Formats: sequence, C-alpha cells, structure tokens
Amino acid sequence: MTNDLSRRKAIALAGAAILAPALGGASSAFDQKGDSSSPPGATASAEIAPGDAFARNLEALPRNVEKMLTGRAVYVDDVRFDGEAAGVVVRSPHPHARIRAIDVSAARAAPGVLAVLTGGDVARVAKPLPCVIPPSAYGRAKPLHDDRPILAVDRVRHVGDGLAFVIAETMEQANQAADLVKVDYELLPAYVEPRAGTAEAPIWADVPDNVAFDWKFGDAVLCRKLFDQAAHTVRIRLSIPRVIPNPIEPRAAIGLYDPHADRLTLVSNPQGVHFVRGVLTRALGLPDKKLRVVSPYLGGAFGSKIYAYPEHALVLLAARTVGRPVRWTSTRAEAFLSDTQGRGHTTEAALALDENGRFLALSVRPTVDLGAYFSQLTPITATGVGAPVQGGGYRFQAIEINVRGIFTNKVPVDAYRGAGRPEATYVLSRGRRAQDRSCRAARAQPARFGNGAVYRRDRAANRRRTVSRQSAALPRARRPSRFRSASRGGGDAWTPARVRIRELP
Amino acid sequence: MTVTIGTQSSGQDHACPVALYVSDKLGFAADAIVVREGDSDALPVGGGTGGSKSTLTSSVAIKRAVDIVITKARVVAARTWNVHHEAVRFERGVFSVAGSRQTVGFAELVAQYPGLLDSEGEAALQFGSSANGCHACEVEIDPDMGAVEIVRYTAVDDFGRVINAANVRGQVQGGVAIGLGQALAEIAPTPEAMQRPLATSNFNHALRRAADIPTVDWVDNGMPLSTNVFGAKACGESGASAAPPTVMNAIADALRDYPRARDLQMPARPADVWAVVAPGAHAADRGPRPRRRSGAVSPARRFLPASRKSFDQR
Repeated sequence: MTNDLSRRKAIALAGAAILAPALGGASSAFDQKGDSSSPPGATASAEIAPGDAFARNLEALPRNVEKMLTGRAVYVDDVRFDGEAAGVVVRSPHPHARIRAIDVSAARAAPGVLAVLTGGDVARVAKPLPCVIPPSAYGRAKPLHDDRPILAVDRVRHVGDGLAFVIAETMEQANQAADLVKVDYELLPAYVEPRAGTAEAPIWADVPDNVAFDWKFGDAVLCRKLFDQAAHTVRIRLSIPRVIPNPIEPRAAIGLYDPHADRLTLVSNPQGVHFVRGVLTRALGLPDKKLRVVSPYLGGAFGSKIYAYPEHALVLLAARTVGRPVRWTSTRAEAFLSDTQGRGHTTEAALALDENGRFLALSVRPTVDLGAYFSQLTPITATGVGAPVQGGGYRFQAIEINVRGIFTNKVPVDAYRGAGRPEATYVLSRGRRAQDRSCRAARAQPARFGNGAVYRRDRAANRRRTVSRQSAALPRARRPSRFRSASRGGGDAWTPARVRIRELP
Repeated sequence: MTVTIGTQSSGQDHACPVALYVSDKLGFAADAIVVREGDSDALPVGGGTGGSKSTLTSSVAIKRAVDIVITKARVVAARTWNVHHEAVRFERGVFSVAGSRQTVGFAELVAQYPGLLDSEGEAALQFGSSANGCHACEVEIDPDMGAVEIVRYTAVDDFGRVINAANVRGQVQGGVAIGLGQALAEIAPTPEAMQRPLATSNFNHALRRAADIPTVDWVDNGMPLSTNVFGAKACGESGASAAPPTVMNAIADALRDYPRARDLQMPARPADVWAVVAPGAHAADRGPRPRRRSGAVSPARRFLPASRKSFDQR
C-alpha cells in the first residue's frame, strides 16, 4: 500500500506538471525501463510533460476521462525516451510477387542509419505471429502455414506487406533510407476476389485452391428436408464489404531493451497488453517474464488494435539490435495498408417458409475474403462468433451455416466492432424483410417479430414493459397487438427460455 | 486507493463502473479511487478489451477482489478487538461489533496496516450476455442525386442495467455511426487502388463525419442480467450490428417499386442509389403499376418530407 501511495503521489505531481509548459530535454530515465518492481517514486519535477512522466515512471496509468476530453491524455506518440531512434517499414507496392533479391546496402550506408532489418534477418530469430485459434474451430485437421510473418522473406502477399525495417537517428533519415532499399520482384497473378479454384500461383503452397477453410455448422440434413417441404422459399444474395476500422489514433510502438536484465519492454497501444505479450513471446521464443507490454491511453481501436502486429516485434528486435529505444508510428496510409480490416462477406442465404409464411429453416453460406494471412483471431471471427446469433429472436426448426474462407491478396480481415455478429444480423434482418415481401406477394400474413429477449422467469412482466415502451418508439405498424399475439400464440416469436441465466458461483 | 484491472479502455472510460462499485462496497469516495490499466507487469493475466465484454469480465473479478479485501479486513478488525471475525459487521465502509460501540472505518484500517489488505481477484467469462434490441430508422432519398439522408433513427436496446448512461449513449451513437458508414459510404480500397497514394487516406475514404450522423433516439429497455454484480449486459457493438440492416431495409422500403433496388448492396452510395431510381427505372415505366395498398404512400411522395410529418404525428 505504501508503494501504491507513493505511486499516487508521483502521478499527482505529474498531473500538476502538465499544466506547466512542456520543456524539451527533460531527461527521462531510460535506465529505469523494465524495472517495474521498484517504481521511482515522487521524482517528477514541475517541467515534465505528461508523455515524459509516463516514460520516466513507465507504469499503468490511472484512467481519467476528463484528460481525454481536454487533450491532456498521454498517447504512445507523446511518450519520448532519451536516445530513441526511429524505424520505418519498407512496404510492398505489389499485391502478389516473389522476392528475387533485396539490396539494402545503399540504405545501410545512408546518413543517420543505424541498422536495416530484412525478412531474412528476422526469420533467423523469430517466427511469424501465430494465429491463436485451433484448426478444429474452423474445420481443419491441421494448422495452415499461413501466419503473418514479421517481414516477408521470399514472397509479398498484399500491397503494404513489410519487406524491411530501417532504423535511423530521425524519422526523416529513416524515410529517406527506406527509399534506397532495392527489391527485385517477380510479379505473380493477384487474387483480388475471393474465388475458389485451382490457382496458378496459390497464395499458400498448402492451399492450392486458396480455400483456407470450409466450415459447417448446424443441421444441414434437417435443413434440406425442410427446404424440400417448404411452401415458399426466399433466396437472397448479400454483400457485406470490407471496411477499414480507422481509429483516429493510429497504431504506434516503442521498443526498449534492458541488456542487464535481458528484458524487452514494448510501449504500444493494444486493446489488451497480456494478449499481445502472449503472441509476441511465442513468435520471439521468449518466456513471458522477458517481455513487458505497457500502454498509455488509446484513441480508438474498434477491434483493429487487439492483435500483435509485425511492427511490435520489429521495434523490439530493433531495440535489441541497436541498443536504443526504437519508435515506429503508423501513418494514415500505413494504417490502410497494414491494420486488419473488417467484414468482407458475400453471402448466399435462403429461407424456407411454410404455407403461412412462417420460418421453417435458414441456410446461410458466406464466402469470406480473408486476405493474405490469418491474423490472430481471423478464422473464429469469420465462423464461430457470428453463428450463435444467426437465428436472432426467431424460431427456426433448423439453421445451417457454411462459411468458406478464401485467401486473397489483401490485408487480413479480423474482428471489427461486432466481429461476425453484424454479418449474421445483416443476413437475418434482410432475410426477414425478403420474407415479408414474399408473404405479401403470396397474400399471406407475414410472421411478426417477437419482442426479443424475454426470460422465462418474469416473461409476463417484461413483456408488458417492453410493449409499452416500444409502442412509443416505433411506428404504428408495430403496435402492441401484434407483439402480443406473436408472443402469446407462440407463432414465430422465439422466447429464449433456453438461455439459462445463473448466478456465478 | 488503486484498482488495477486487466481489461483496457480504448476510449470508453471503463474506470467508471469499477470505481463506482469499489466506492459503494468499501465506502470510499469514488474520486479517491484510481483505476489503472494497461501494464502486463501489474497483473499476471488480463483479458483486454473486445467483444463488448469488459464490464462483464472486470466486474466479476473486482467483486472477488473486493470480497477478499472485506474478509481480510474483518479478520484484522476482529484481532484488534479480540472477538471472532464473524462477529464483525461491515456496512458502508465501517466495521463494527454487535453489542459494542467500537467501530473502525475502512480508510483507518488501511492506514494502520498498509499493504496488508491488498488483494487480487480473477475471473473468466463463463456465461455470455444476451444484449438485444430493435432499431428503426426513416430515410429520405433525393431522386435527383441519389443521396440518402437519415431523417430519424431510433434504437431500443436491452443492455441490462445501465451504469453510466452518458457513456452508453455514446456507445450507441458511435456504434450506429460505424454501421451507417458500412451501409452508406465506406468500403476498403481494392489492392489496385491501394497502389495509389490518395486512396489510402481519409481524403478519399468516405469516413462518416459527425454531420452525416443523426442523433440517435435511444430508448433504454434494459432488463438486468444476474451473472455480474452490475446486472449489465453489453453495448459496444450493438449499433454496428443493427444499423446496416436497419438502413438498408429502410432504403429497400422506400425504393420497393423500383425493380433494380433488389440488387442494391452496401455501401448504398449516392451513385448506386441513383442508378436504382434513374429515369426509366420505376416499375410503372415498364409495365402495370403496382397495386397500391391502403395507407401506403405513393413512391414519388415517399421522397418528400411529408413522410417525416406522418411519422411524428403518430
């Protein structure tokens, strides 16, 4: 507790200091990096900017929403360490190409350059960043060899794929040297649309048709039977295109190396420090205690900052190579070229309806534009996350889902706000409207939407409340009588009595 | 007092419910509680943020930690008073013994035994949540330009018990903004476009601006969940999940007499919508006019603000 009190004092002082103008040259104690067991205590002087205070203390920050709103929160790019160097990633301009040769000699000789790491250098000391989802979760017996490499070794697979990491005294020097990296490419056909079929130059050797997985879920046999019996069927084709998460604060990372303790510290902006540490230590072959991940405030993430990225590993490896702190901050263009993207589904869906227009079965067959690599959660985002909500608040006798994930020469997709559930909801709600239209055409009364999650325990009480409140908010066509008839009649209203709510032990 | 949590805010202020709970349980002023996050050395494990589950997981872990703190404190107080620890009561931050006037505040106890009461709790999410809701929106389409305007957007959501209404409202608004972007404007550039510098910037990428996003009418229809101390469900991703079908269904409804609307896919940008409503595309221009249903507004009039009036009058 004394420790905590002294920490609090330090933070309070640092908090007072932010009102004073930030003076350059306030020394931050680089030699204290990684030394979390003995916090330096109340040593902050009144001239330290909040970023420097973070660099000096290097510990979890108290979160304060007021600071965020008034522009006083500390983000990774505000944090400065003494003697830090800047890193720039050389990226591929081609979506798919074989690397015949990389010549970094001119870049190494450029002014201010401390080191240049290539895919070959990195591959000697680190493995690609592993996907953490077991293959059984997406219907494969064995894992694919498709993890995102830290730097491309012999092949680039998307525009923006990293080839080399140039470390120099300043960001300008690193950028200028990066232009001097010469790469001899042999262009390969690019796979832009997710299409299965034998590829001339498959993106991954062990997947000749670019189909990463073909995942099946639900009761396909019963579904087919119900479709055969159905009085009406409705088919729709829906596109849920790829989008860019685009957080306002781009990704950024600073790598620190303490040679005495042989310990690495990553200052970055991930959504969870422990997850990133786990993935990076696996890739770098280190025990967990040899890496610390610290994060100041985040300026948005939306899923795209969950993952360990190649640049995280690069700043760490670079810090170990040059013996100085190494910084990398993404530009907006790099965010487009390297942050994981979201969605990318094209879905064929079909609904089987009985003679009264009620739902019998639902078949959902998405084709997912996975991108060139598996990011750490890619396969589960495309399959198992959306599946449980596919039926929504409706009662179906059977649902079958068949997700085909196909590699393309693009940035990987992964979880983006909703992660599979927006895709499922989109298919269901668009299908619901198609059913409505189909019923109108057939002059049948369309089934009505039951009022969502109603628990068995106090279903009646909740129904009354829901009905009265919704009637105020929704147009006349959805007034209570229909909710009520649907809920009572047990028509298509699905009351999730199966959702068991229990107190935790 | 410091509370260190393994979930991590990416801008949402997860600290608020944590501080409220601890303050309520231990009788500390909420603003005297510092919530820290984002250090892999500070905690052995941590779940980070994702899947709208930060409050669900952190609240269970914090309840465990707080329970341990209280148990320890009761034992310490009991030793001081030389009574059995079960005789010590704890209410509103004050320990007392039945039948005696002796009391000690939590803060006092902490000051006497610094560090002794530090405790840790860990929880894995065993039960998911069942957040649900219903979104409705009204759109107006400019037939000359194909532009879609969201005139009104209403979200009725069951997020369980709402702890910080302003923040939840913000999550709804932000989630809907992301959903509207997907439905009406945003699409990742193709690899070919990525090779051109301008495609990889927000100058050319149609990120929704604040002016493009209506203020969402949010109706809290929460039913508390019993798997966590707050009764909270989840809210971060609901808007992003619900807005795309809501907007696309509204557009489909407005354009229901235009055969090409069947193939309209996201994002429904002005040019895409214009291709649907362009002269010659109306069903009436091609064959018999669709049978007019009673009460339905004729297709041409649906573009006019009259539809808004009728909505408000209900």
